[in-house]
This record gives sequence, structure tokens and C-alpha cells, in this order.
Amino acid sequence: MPQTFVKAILLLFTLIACMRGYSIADEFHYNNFLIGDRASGMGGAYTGVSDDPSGLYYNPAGIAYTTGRNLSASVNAFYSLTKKYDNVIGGHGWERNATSLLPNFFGIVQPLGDFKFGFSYAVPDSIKEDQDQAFTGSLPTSLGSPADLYIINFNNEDNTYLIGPSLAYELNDKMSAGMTLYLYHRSGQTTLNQFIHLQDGRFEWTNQYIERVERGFKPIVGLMYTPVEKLSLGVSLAKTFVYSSSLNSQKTFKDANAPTVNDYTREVIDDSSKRKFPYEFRMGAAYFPSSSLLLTIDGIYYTSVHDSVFGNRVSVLNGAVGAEYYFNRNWAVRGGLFTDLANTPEQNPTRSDQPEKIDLYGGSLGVSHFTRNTSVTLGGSASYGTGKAQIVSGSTTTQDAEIFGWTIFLSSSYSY
Amino acid sequence: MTNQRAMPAYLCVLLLSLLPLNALAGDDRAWRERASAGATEAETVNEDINEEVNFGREVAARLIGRYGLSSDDQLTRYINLVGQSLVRNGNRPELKYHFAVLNTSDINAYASPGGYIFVTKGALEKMQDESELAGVIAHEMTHVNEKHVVRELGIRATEGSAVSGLARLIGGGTETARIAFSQAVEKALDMLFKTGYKREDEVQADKGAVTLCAVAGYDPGGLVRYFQRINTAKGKATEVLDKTHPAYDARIALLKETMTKEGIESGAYKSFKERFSAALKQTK
Repeated sequence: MPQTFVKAILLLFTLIACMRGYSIADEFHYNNFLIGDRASGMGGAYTGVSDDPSGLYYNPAGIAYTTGRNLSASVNAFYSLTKKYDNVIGGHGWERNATSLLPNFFGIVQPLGDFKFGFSYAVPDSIKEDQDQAFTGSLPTSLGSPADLYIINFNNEDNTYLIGPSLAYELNDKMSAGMTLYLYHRSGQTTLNQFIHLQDGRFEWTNQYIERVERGFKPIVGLMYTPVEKLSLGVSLAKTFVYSSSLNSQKTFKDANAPTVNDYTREVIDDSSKRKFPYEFRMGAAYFPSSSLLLTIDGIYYTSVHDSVFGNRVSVLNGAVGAEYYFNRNWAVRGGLFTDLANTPEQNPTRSDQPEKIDLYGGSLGVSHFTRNTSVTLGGSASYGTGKAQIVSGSTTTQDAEIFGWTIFLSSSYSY
Repeated sequence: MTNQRAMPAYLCVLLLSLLPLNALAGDDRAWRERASAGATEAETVNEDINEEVNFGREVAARLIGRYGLSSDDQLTRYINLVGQSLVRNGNRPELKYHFAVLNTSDINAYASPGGYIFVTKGALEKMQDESELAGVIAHEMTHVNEKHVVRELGIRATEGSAVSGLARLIGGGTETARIAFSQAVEKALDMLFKTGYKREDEVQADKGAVTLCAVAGYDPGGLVRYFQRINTAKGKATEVLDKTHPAYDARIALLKETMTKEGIESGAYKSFKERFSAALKQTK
């Protein structure tokens, strides 16, 4: 049974690693990256605006109101994430660091007859971990003897890409509709090399390589509505459908309890189970009191997911508020606040191997300089949260955990 | 599933609020415009004019490639003399106008941004005096003077500032600008051969033509007579013209109304019938 294989590989991996907390990108949150320059500066509260290329991602109906004839925008971001877990091994804490420098978004919008056509590329999730860590001392294990040396070399890279066209149309003076059809591509590789030396002289050694690829599509449909002057309301609905998935694992394992020191096992597992995603429902309002000020608010609701292979997810409601203020026609500043709540259930103290639950809260700032054809934006965001995790496999012990992530982005938009 | 969060009531209310408020909405959406529009729509600079000329030259080259130029130097010189007499009374002194005859029996005339004006041999054969030629040229000149293509396609120069350079470096703007230029040329040709100018631009060009002719001393009624004549010349020769322009009856009525309104329906205007006939003698 493919599902059993996946469960087995995830379980084996965590058993051998003696640690949980391994995740491909950050699958426990939906709002890992803010997308776009103007939108990022306003905490992602952009569904009611969406009138530049970033709108292709948030609400494609908004690009019907782009004012430039042709627009392109590009965002490059440096991302850093630190996760800390208390009391993991012999009182030691465990810290995981991930960084990523990547093109976060590129989009272009131009008229096409009565329509506005767009094409965009977005990276809503990405992680790159490269960790070398050694623990010494008397370390508790489930192998019949404490360990005196624990070495882990862990390399993990996982990226999600969305790329595809959009089309928007003004239905009438007050309403527009739009659609984006993203191709979804997610790929990742994990390499683990782990050595545990026990105080009684035995040792355990694991070398594992996992490669995974998912392909699918993510349609986004949106509406933009102007009920009264200076107020714009937007809604969009999205869902990712995976049509192809592959997970390949090769693991070579030297068991501490093997009959002879030369015994080892090798496992190769292939699986094609498809991950399930929630419906993503965005609602946003934008108020334009003057040409210098813009206020926005968004609510993003993700439905629950029943996925027996990759884990169930609870429904999540994230919120964001943002503001944009122009000092003059050449300079503008933006700020925003947002939530990034965990999509995992509350931890049950009687169970083991539960996914971490850490709700995040963040803020963002950005400053833009405009010239005739271009704008350049420098901005950043940060999020922080505390919660609970169970990263020692098979144990009901929970650890206090915290996450701190920050992003700096440099972006430009260009009209021609 | 435990721990589910139900969608809050306020979100439902917000969603429902999308439906019934049509009547309250205003049509004016100037409020969407941000203050940065002041930076992006700054006044025309010399670089914009150069870009207009470069763009117009590219479109003109495509027109010449399609039809070929008349090899009659004397005719070309004559067309230029008529055109320059109008240029002196125009409002784009920064442009250097070029006038030429396209080697086709199609009845039409074309304007390319930057000051490139073409009249077809087929159109010349339908004209009976110089004021008619001046009217047609003045109509095309008004398209250029009022920047109809430039505004429609957003033709303007790219910036050379450091900030702009950085923006292009990040966003790959140089390449996209080059592609956009190429796309805009195709759109301009579509306007000339398929879709035509916007109706209000054609109206402005017709109004501008009779006024310009009158100011230059040409009989503004020449354009009316020309329209009346080609209105009856249906067929392959007027296929593009008919497709890209409003109906002649309405245009003729508008011209007459404009002439009356401007007080130029009669006066000491010239038609130069003989001069025109002499200039075209060789080509007929």
C-alpha cells in the first residue's frame, strides 16, 4: 500500500533521527512568504487592491484596474527562519536554521483587447537547511545505553513554484472578474547522515536520501467590486490540485543491535501518494481616502484537510491589515500586520509524534521610490511565535518551541 | 476533525455585502490613482520625443516594406512642399515631418508617430485639387500632432537614471522594454490596417484637418469633396479605409458643422487645381 510506505518512511526517518520536526518547507503554516512588493509591505493585505502584477497572485480580478499600459514587477527576497526546541536531548536544546535567497515573484500585466492579460511566477514556500551538529555528554536514547556522541549532518531543500497566465475583465463599472491558472511544481531533496555512538561501545549509523516531486495546478478565481466610491472589495478562491507525485528514498542503516558489526540494511522506497490541499478563500477590503493614503484588511480562510498520508490539517483563518502612505509622488512607505497560524491540531498530552503547533504573528515595512517608469522598493517582514512540539519520536514529551522568521526583499516594478 | 475554526460571521457579512450595493457605486475611479502617478506621468521630455520618432520610423519602415515608395522624385517633392506648408501652421515644431507617396492603388493615407506621413497613389488619383490633398495630409498630421498612437500605446522613453537602471537590473526591464517596443509596433500596424484609431481620435483628426487647412490658406472644403468622392468608390481599393474609419456620411456632416462653427466654410481659400494637375500629370 503506497500510503503505508509513506507512513513507514516518515516514521523510520524520525525514529532513526530520534527527532521529529523535519518538514518539507514549512507545511504547518500557509503564509510562509508574503508575495509581491507592495503587497508584502502591507502584510499581504492586498485582495481588495490587487491592481498591479502582485494582484495576479492575490486576486486576479484586480489587474483589470492596472493604470500603466504595461507593467512588470520583480521581487527578490532573502529569507531566514530559526526554530528552537527546549530540552530535546539530555537537556540540550535543538535549533534549526534555514535561509533562502530567491526570486520571490515576477509578474507582467498588459492589455489584450478588452481584457488584461498577465503572467506571473511566485515562490510561496521555500526552505534551505544545511546543518552540522554534534552532541556530547551522556545522552539518553532508546537503544539500551546512553550515547556519548551524536552527530547529525542534515541538508534539506524544498521549493514550491507557481507559474502561469491570468486574465481579467471589467464586467461593468463596479465589478471585474479574473482568473489565474498556475502550474504548481514542488521539488525537494533531503540528505541525512547520522551517527550515534553509545557508551557501551555500540554505534548506529544512518545514511538517507529522499527526493520528492509534486506537480499540479492551482486555479485562482477572483472578483473585485466597488460598492461605493473609494472602497474596493475583493474575493478570491484558490485550491491546489496535485496530479503527479513521487517520493523516492534510499536508506542505508547500521543498527546498533545488529548481530555483527558488518550487518547493515538498505531500503529503497518509491511512492506516488498525492498530497491534499485546502480551499483558500481570501476576502479583502481597501479604502482609498486620498491619493496619498490606502488602508487595507484581509481575511484568508483555509478549509480543513483530511489526509491520512501526509497528515490532517485543521482549518485556519489568517488576517492581515496594511497601510500605504505617499509622502510625495516619489516616495511612499507601507506597513502591515499579519498572522500565520498553524494548521495543526492542538497537542494532546497523551499522544506521541504529533506535529508542532506554533502560531505566528508578524509585521512588515517597505519603502518605495518612484520615477517615471520605475519604482524600487526595499522592505522586510518578521514573524514570531511560540508553541508546542514533539520532536523526539515515540515520546509523549512535548517541548516548548519558538519560531522567528524574517525576510528582506528588494523589488522593482517597471512600466513601459 | 477537532480544532476546526468556523468561518466567522463577519466574513459572511462581508461576502454578502458584495451583492446588493450596485446603485451606490460611482463611475469615476480617479480615486484609485496613487500619488506616484504624478511621477510616472511626468511631462514629456526630449527623450520621449526621440522615442516617438524612433517608434514612428519603425512603423514607417513597415509601411514602406508593405507597399513600397513611389520612385517619382518630383511627385515626392511636391507632396513634401504641400506638407511643409501645413507644418508651418502646426503645433509640433519639435518634429521634422516627412511626406511620401506609397506605391499602391489602395485609396488611403497613413500617419506614423514622429512625423511620417504617407499618401497612396490610389488616393492621389481620386483627388482633383491641392486643397483635397492638403485636407488628407492635414488629417494625418493631426493624428501625429495630437499623439493619438503615442497615447494609445503609451510610447515614451525609458529612463537613464540610476534608480531606473537598478529597477531594470532587478526586473529584467531592458529586455521587456525591447519586447514591448516590438509589440507596440505590431499594435500600431494593427491600428493602421485593422482596428483603426479610436472614434474620438478620428473626429479630432477631421476637425483638426479643416482648421489646419484654413489656417494654411487651403480650401477646407477640399476634404469634404474628397470624402464625397471616395464615398462612392467602394471596392478593394477602399477595403482598408472603410474598415478603419467611421462612415463618410457622418464624417462629412461633422466637417461641415465644424467649418460652420469655426467660420471657415467660405473665404479666400485656395484649391490650386491647376498646380495639382500639373504635379500629377506624370503619374496619371
